[in-house]
Amino acid sequence: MPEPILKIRGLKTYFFLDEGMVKAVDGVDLDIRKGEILGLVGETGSGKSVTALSIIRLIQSPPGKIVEGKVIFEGEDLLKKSREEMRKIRGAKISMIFQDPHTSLDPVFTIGSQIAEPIELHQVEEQHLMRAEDVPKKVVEMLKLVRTPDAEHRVGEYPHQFSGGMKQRAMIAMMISCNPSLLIADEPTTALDVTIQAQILDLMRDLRRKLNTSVLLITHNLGVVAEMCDRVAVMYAGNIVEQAEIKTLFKSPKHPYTKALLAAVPKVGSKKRKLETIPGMVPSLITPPPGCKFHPRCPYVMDICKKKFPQMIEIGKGNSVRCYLYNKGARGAA
Amino acid sequence: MIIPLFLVASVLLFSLLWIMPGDPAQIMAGSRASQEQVAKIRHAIKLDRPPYVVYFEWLGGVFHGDFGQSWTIQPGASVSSLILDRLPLTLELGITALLLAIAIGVPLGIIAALRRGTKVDYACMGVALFGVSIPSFWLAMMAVLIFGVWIGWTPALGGGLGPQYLILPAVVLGALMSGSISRLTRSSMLDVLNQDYIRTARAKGLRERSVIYKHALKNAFIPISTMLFMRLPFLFGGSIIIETIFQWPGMGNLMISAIKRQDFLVIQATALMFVVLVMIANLLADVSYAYLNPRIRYGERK
Amino acid sequence: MSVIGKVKRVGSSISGYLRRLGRSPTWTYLKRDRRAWVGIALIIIIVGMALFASFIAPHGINDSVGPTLAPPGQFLFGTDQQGRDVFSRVIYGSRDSLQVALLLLLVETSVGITLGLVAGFYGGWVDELVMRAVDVMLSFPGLVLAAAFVGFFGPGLRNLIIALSLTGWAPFARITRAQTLMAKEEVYVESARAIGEKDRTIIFRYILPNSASPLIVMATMTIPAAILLTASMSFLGLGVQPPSPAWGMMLFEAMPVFRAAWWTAVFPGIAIMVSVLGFNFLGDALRDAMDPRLRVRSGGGGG
Repeated sequence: MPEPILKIRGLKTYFFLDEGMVKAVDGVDLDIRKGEILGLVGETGSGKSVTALSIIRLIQSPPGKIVEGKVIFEGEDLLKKSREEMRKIRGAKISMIFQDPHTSLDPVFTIGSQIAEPIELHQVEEQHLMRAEDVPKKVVEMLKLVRTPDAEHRVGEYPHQFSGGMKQRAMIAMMISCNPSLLIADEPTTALDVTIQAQILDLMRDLRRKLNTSVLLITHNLGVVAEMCDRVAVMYAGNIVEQAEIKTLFKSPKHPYTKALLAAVPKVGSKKRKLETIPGMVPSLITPPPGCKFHPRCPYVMDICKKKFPQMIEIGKGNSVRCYLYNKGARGAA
Repeated sequence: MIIPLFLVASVLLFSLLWIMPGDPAQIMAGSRASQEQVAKIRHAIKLDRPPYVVYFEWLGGVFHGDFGQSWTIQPGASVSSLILDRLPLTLELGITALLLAIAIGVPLGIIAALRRGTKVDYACMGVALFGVSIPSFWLAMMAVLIFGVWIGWTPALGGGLGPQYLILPAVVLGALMSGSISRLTRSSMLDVLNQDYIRTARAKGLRERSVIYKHALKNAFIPISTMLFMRLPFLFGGSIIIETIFQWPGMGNLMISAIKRQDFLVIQATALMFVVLVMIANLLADVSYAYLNPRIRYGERK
Repeated sequence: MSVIGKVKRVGSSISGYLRRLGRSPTWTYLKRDRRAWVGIALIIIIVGMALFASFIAPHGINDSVGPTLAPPGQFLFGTDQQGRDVFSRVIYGSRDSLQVALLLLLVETSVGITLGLVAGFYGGWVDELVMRAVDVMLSFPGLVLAAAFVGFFGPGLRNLIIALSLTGWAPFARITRAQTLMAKEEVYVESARAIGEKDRTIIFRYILPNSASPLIVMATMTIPAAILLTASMSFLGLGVQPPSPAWGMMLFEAMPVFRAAWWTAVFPGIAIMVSVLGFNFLGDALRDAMDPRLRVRSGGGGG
């Protein structure tokens, strides 16, 4: 198994609000391997985006703070790096694209100039991999790479002149222009039409193939996961509760939450009349339930679940779960 | 927008002469004037004819720059010549003050926005709040006291032309304006800094300097410049008081003199000129917004 | 319904409103904002001056108590060119200045709120007309128009109020109209109409209370402007007339002599500044407390 390019260990990111301390990410372990597309799934509020922002250290502080953990990238802990070092990594070695392309592009600069910015900064200035004169050509190249029609002319246009899908593609062009090893995509297609969605996902698969970029794909849409990901991690209330290869996850989900998520997706041709839901409510991140955070909603809940927070256990090839149903050893001890 | 403004203002100002208490002709002629003299004036200002007709004649005159003549301030002189003498001076004062206000207010607002919530922020906004709360005439009087009387710098006492007489009034007016400008700048910057594209800029690994002075500032500048133009009329309002205290011979000064000496045509004309200035300021605001905002300048998407 | 019944109804809706306000996040933020407390303290000082003027001020506003003297000495703020005690005049001046400002506010809100309600509720050409007027009046410097008006109609309290409210009603109309438009869509308005309640009742019982919060903020922020404008007009000799000890008037009278007698100008001006500051502090704090964007964001979009 090749060494992962990103290893997260025990990441905790809290937000210190008037109402209390919000434990958005409460002890997350995650590995991303070279060239793989890892899906990070969960409901709104599960901590997916915060995890992503923590990796590149874009957490707004105050009120947020990465209180604990290690984020090992290329052998070094990102959390220990200086702000300047981190800045050089952003956009160059690790990039992130965001959910809403309509608000994520600066309206007063041309698309071309915005794509050129990271190239000029990282490749020309910092790494001396390119000359300044070659940048405009590279910008057009990138736009073409993401399948923008009429790229030579589009370079000089402003974001409002692009459609939603084109904007997102421009974002992708912007963020992969410096050939990062890791691309984090936070709900990249949620704000777009279904047809455009397919285009974007297709593009991302293509890019992964061509450039061998690893992708951390954050989404709440299991359909997208099924199409794109090699492996999946499921998040609930700030913790990863299950990790598996894609086929394993869909064929035999282990964690009760994963099972419920899959059951909630309506299937074409199914004879069921009612939509399945998960009973109960998403727990408070300020005062989460004791023991396993899912226990109030879990149909298989046992005594120990209410008392002790379960650890992550490996139960098969690349499959791990955080649940006492599979932790036979720990169940006896209270 | 500009047209209704002009219509409403012109009708209002015109009708003031007709609905005011007392007889304008009599007042302007003076208490010792004969009946003939009063009648002559009444005829000259067309008070003896139906107002609706006179309004259009008056409007026509206005477009030709003819506002009639002064009766009490400088009897016989054409009002437009009086105004033309004074207008440049008011503009000089106003623009100098505005530039000063921008030079002080905008940086102050930016610093406060960047250091939001810190002591620096509170200090800047505290100063700004004071600026907005000081009565303009009082600040002017204090300036005269400090610089004119205590320090003994004569131009501070006002009464002349030339750059040394311009400094203090411009500084006072500018200082007053800078308070509101810094508050506006700060809130505009804060709005912009909260936007998603700023997060994108940081995610690209851009230097914080670029994020702020390139992306944030350029975006914040659009509402700021629009607001600056919209505030211009209030600057002219403030200049009325400043001109009076420093005896700066501008249009505001003229208007107050006209009010005191009951030279009604002059009052109408100066007020109308202020309306025109407001119209121009509004127009400039719209133009600057259209020019700076790519959405308007380059039209919507294909 | 009897008068007692109507009074009871108004009273309970006011206390209901206050109770809801006390529990709202606005109040929590407001309580902690030091500006609010500083503002309230200053306002209490000024209002106290106005209410207890006859007890605090040692002399009358027109009593000539001595030659023109500088402070401190026998008279705390000195005496003016007519020998009157500046301190007493400043104290009594709070009454005049506040009264004028509040009167102006009253007229502006009455006209503005009424027009806003009508425009928002009935829509159509009425709305268009009112909104055009609002736009025009908002971009016009009030002082200029007021000065022109007084130039023709003469000075004095009544004309001052009329002159300044010519432009001052606009912000209230705009806010009220916006609130009315929103409130119109509410379910309880629909049901009230279905029951056949009169327009007038709907407007005053359902729609108006909803607009209360932003209007209160606007009013708090307009009082400083009202104080400054009325003082400016008086300073130009176009407002209240002597012997009123209104602060603007005091500064007008100080004009010929202040270069030699600084105390005639310094103290009234400070008084104006303190009152304006007080309302500005409070107004700022109120506005920030009600602004949801200023609530601290909870994490990166919560995902």
